[in-house]
Amino acid sequence: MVSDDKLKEIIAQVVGEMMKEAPAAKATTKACCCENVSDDDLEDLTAYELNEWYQVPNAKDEAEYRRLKKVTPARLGVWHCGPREMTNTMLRFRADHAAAQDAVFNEFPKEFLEERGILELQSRCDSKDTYLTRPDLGRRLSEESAQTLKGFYKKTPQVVVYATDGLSGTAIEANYDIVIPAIMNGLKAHGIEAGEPFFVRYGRVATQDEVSEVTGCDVCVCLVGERPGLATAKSMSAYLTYKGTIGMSEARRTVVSNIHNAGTPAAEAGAHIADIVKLMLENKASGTDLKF
Amino acid sequence: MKEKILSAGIDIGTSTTQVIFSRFTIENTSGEYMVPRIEITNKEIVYESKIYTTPLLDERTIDEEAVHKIIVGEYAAAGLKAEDIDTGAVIITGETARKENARSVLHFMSGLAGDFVVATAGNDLEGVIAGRGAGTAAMSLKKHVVTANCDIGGGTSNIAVFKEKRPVDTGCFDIGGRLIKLDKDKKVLYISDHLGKLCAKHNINIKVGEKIQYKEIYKACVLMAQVLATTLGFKTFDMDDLAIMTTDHPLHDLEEIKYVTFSGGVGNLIYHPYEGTDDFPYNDIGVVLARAVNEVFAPFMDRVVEPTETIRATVIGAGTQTMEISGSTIAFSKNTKLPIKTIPVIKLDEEAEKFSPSDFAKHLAPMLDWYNDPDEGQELVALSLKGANCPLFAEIERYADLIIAGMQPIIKSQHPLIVVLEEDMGKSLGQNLMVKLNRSKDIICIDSIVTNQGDYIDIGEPLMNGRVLPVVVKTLVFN
Repeated sequence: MVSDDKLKEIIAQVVGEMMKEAPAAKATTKACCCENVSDDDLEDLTAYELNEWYQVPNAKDEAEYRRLKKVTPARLGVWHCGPREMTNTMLRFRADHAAAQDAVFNEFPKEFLEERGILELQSRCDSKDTYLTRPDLGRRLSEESAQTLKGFYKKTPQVVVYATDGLSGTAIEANYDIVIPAIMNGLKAHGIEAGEPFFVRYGRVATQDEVSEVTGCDVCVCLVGERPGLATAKSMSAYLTYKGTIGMSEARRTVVSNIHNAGTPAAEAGAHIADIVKLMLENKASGTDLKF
Repeated sequence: MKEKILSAGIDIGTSTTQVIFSRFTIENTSGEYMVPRIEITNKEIVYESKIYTTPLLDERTIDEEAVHKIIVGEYAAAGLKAEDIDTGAVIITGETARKENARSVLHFMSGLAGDFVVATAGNDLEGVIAGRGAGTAAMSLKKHVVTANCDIGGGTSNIAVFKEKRPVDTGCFDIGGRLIKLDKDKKVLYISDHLGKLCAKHNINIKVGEKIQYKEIYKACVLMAQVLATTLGFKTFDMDDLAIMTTDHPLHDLEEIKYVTFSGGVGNLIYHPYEGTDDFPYNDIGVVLARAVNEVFAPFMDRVVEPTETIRATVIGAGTQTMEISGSTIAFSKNTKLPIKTIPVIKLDEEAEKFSPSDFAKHLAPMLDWYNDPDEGQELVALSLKGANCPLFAEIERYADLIIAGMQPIIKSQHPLIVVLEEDMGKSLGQNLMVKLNRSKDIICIDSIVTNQGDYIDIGEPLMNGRVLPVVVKTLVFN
């Protein structure tokens, strides 16, 4: 194995030799003003909505092409240079990929929870790496968290609503402030009492089963960040169970997915989730047992 | 889950009466793991009647009994009962609609055609329905151009202009195939007042009791076709003629019309000229009027398109194009009695939606006042709003505050609070209204429906397990 430092040294050496061999290329580089460019002077390639990002020159019917683009986040009409995509397309693609990576790997910001006074719990994972490699640990609450949760509610709540970062903390950051009040409002409209929401770090969907057992709630709503793609890193799902138990069948979960701006608006999703909770309480069932 | 509903379309026109039955399939097109998206996925015409001549007792009176017999006979022929019908529309069109007994005909008709039926005779709506039935509205969306349909029937020509499938303008003229009626000896039995005036102005000699002169009739028909070309903006002829032949109002010249289609009985003859030797085979002037339209529009033939339906446009529009369904995430109180018919719609301009609650209420007050009868109190009205795309929850609450401040007269009345939104926010807003009004007020909060000031709406009984409400938007005026 070559160490990182050694590797860097080799690369520097090779690149240095290449530069010597290609003076013409070096001259071209120098002619362009690439030095001391501030970020403010550069175009923000992530600022465009994908379905408005259009660069076909002299299209026969641009208006029609743009209408077509409106219905899909696919990278249509981004044009090309020879057989390849344009540089900006390539960079945007990489930027979107980076956003997806960030959503998965970044720590969910503590400040977000502190600002809102949200209780933070944790699964049995001690880091992102453990979370990604040990699904079994992500499905359980740490012993300390389980203890905290046990004393969290003064009386057993009928419904518990909580959020967990899952595979995209970004999704929770984007939707929390809309979806939580919408759910709470909807439950209130139906005359249903819900406990105060909290947050579980490094949680997976099935963590909700331990939450159900520990709190003794009837319905548990777990809001979780979905695995991000190139179209959005902000998509969230809600998993709902009626009297969930650790190790229960996955078929007993009801899911509402694709909650994001280009999918279902968070406020409407929250209102819809409140309706499902009501239905679950009436039917005493969830997942495939719940017919609606 | 699929749900099928039956829709009836009944058109009682000046010259013809027709009935169709169609079946709509409604289903959730979204995945089971997603928020539902309920749509009408199929419309299938299951029965078409033959085209009857509308039975009249005299020039002014529909033969109620005979019409009733026709409709009853068609139900039987289709093997259907009145209670099988979920939705649909009865349209009494043209000159017939202005006759005294239209109201009583509509009355027995609504009993016959199920519980949720539009019964209307407005020229604006009639033109829109014909344009939708003709396929002209759909064409505007498909080709992304402004299209107009001109439905030339017996008594009137109703024009509707469409942009991206939405009606943007309407106009109505007293131009039709039955403005002159002949007896079997080709003597003039009847000439309409408007056409009589037009003929007098141009020294065209057509008199009741005299034998008809083809040349004179043709001249009169060319003048009428020129009125249509003028209002459609193809070529301006005589504005005085246009004024003489206008029923309520001409087109408002808002959009440049790219393509025009003609429907109705005369519309059919424009594309498929009558081939017999008789110039007056129906003892009226329909065939001649079609010829005149062809001559006047000859220079613009590249802009004249044949619609998918001509003579059946109105009945198909009535039967298949009047009902839409609300968005799939809406809120309504379970004990609200539905259907509710002919609810007037109030809409402020979109700027007002940014106002403070008190300013919003101030703007809304005079409009609500129009519907406040000193004896009967506040009448039922629906508030129409654009709403917000992907709103924050604070935005939902702000809208609820606007509505509560502005709709106090309704909230205090025994009427339900009805809110109609364009953007997808009906369920969260509806729930917020319920909470803010202490769950003590009946609320209907629907979305994905576009309505304008001056429209009327019908809201039907819930479909798909109470997920969606069927809505008929009755557009009556364009300003």
